[in-house]
Amino acid sequence: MKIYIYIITIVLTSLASAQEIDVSLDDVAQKVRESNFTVLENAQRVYQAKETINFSKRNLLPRLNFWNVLKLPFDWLSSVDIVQDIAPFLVPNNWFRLSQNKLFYLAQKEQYRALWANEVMTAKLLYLNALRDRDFLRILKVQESQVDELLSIVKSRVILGGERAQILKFFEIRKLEIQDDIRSLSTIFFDEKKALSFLMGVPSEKELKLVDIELPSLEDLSEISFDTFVFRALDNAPEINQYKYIKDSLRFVRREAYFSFLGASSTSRSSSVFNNIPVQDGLGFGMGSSLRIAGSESKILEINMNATKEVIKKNLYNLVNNYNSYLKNIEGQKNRNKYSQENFKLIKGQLVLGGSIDPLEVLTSIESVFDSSISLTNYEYEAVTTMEKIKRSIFNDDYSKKESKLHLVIKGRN
Amino acid sequence: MKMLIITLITLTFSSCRYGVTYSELSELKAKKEKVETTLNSDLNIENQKKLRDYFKGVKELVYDLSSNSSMQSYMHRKFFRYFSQEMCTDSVLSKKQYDVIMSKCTVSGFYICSEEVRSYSDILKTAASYLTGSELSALKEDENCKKNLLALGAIDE
Repeated sequence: MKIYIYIITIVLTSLASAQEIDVSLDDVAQKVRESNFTVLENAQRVYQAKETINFSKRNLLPRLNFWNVLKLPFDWLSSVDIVQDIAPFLVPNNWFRLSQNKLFYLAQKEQYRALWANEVMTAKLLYLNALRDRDFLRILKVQESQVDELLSIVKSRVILGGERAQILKFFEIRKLEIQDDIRSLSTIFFDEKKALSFLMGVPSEKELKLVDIELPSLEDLSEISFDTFVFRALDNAPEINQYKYIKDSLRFVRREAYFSFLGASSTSRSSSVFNNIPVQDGLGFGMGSSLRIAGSESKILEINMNATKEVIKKNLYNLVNNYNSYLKNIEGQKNRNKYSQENFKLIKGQLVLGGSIDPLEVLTSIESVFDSSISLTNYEYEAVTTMEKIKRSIFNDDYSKKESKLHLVIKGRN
Repeated sequence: MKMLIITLITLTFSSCRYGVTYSELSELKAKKEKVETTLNSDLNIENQKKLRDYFKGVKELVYDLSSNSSMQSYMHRKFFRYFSQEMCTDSVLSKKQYDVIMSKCTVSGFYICSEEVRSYSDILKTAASYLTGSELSALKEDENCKKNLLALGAIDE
């Protein structure tokens, strides 16, 4: 009988461990790239944009439209109409649409790059947040044990008549409050792990086991400057490149308007971004308006591009400023933590030796240790988080996905 | 008549396009010279822009070449008419110069230059992959050019 129990226990344990996945911070980017649902969906959109180029290219080749051919014996003049069928490559607007679709593809790739980087960053920041909360939990549990210890001392004093009974109740209330904080934080930690699973495309049934990271020693880091990063942040930003490609494609819309007298294109655009620019099918008086609307669209894109540049610069300023402020104040935080720890040890020692210390003073000391520990841990994680955000804004390390054109050049084919 | 006009327009447009690309090739020389002025100074934003202009220029040329098969055949047809031994030294940075630039591009563990700078070797490699055997041989005739391209990893022995 015993042997069966052992076997069942082993099987259940192995099943339980099979549901657990060890994940390190380095794994996060890889997992997001491979399995994130939003990234996968957007990759399909890029694929569609690429396939639209192929469609536009093939649409330049002759095709058979049975009904147009049937019309021919009855109406010889309609032979001009079948130019679109037998020689669509002679219609300039078909070529302009092809060029537009090529640029839309590049814009779509840039959109994908931005989304991909954002998803990677969100997942990595969530991972760091979860680790921070786990560390906060540890600190809370230390506080709980300190309050427990104090509670037993106060209990003895109350029994011996040295303290009022209300003090005991007060400590018990505080202990329950800490227990509730632990419960809330455990729930948050659980939620974060599930959210991380989702971002990484891991099925919810599986339990993530987060591997600790080595927090940097902030004293060894040096301050950074905005000027160092701003060039790369703007030069490599997919959000700006996307506008550049879309704006570049506008010149083909203008050409479409000019050459509309040679027939409208039979190819659709892979993006609906210029659907509001009307192009006449044939020579007409609407061309001027089409060109002016295209010009206005160009101005809108320029405005959006400038706004995006300013947003990137503003974010970078904030990141650099935050990062430097953490470095500047870390020494103060370390001292704060050190003094509060020393103070607590001193008071506790006197209390154990039976000194006439007010238990409330000890509790204040415990809370001071807790606050300073939380603050110090928070500083360390904030510095790592800010570093991660800077890497995202300048596309370094895990975020170093190449710009669309460069990617195609290096791949060696289009 | 209509067909003739359309064909003429198409031909005019396509030849203009390649003409622009050839002028871009000659512009590279000027861009490269600007890059050379940055070698002995700090990598400030102005100098980063100079680097970007040159390296992006190279990328754009290779992109145009790689994405347009008509342009590739046009290049093969006209290669020996336009090619001169100076083209290599005029438009490609030496390995030593490139290393100096790369050493400035990493600050506090962060890479801060244009992505094209880091990918220079790969871009050149792609460009070389579009050359025929005889075109490559013409390029390798100049010993310095050959050594430099080998050092940059753009071509194989």
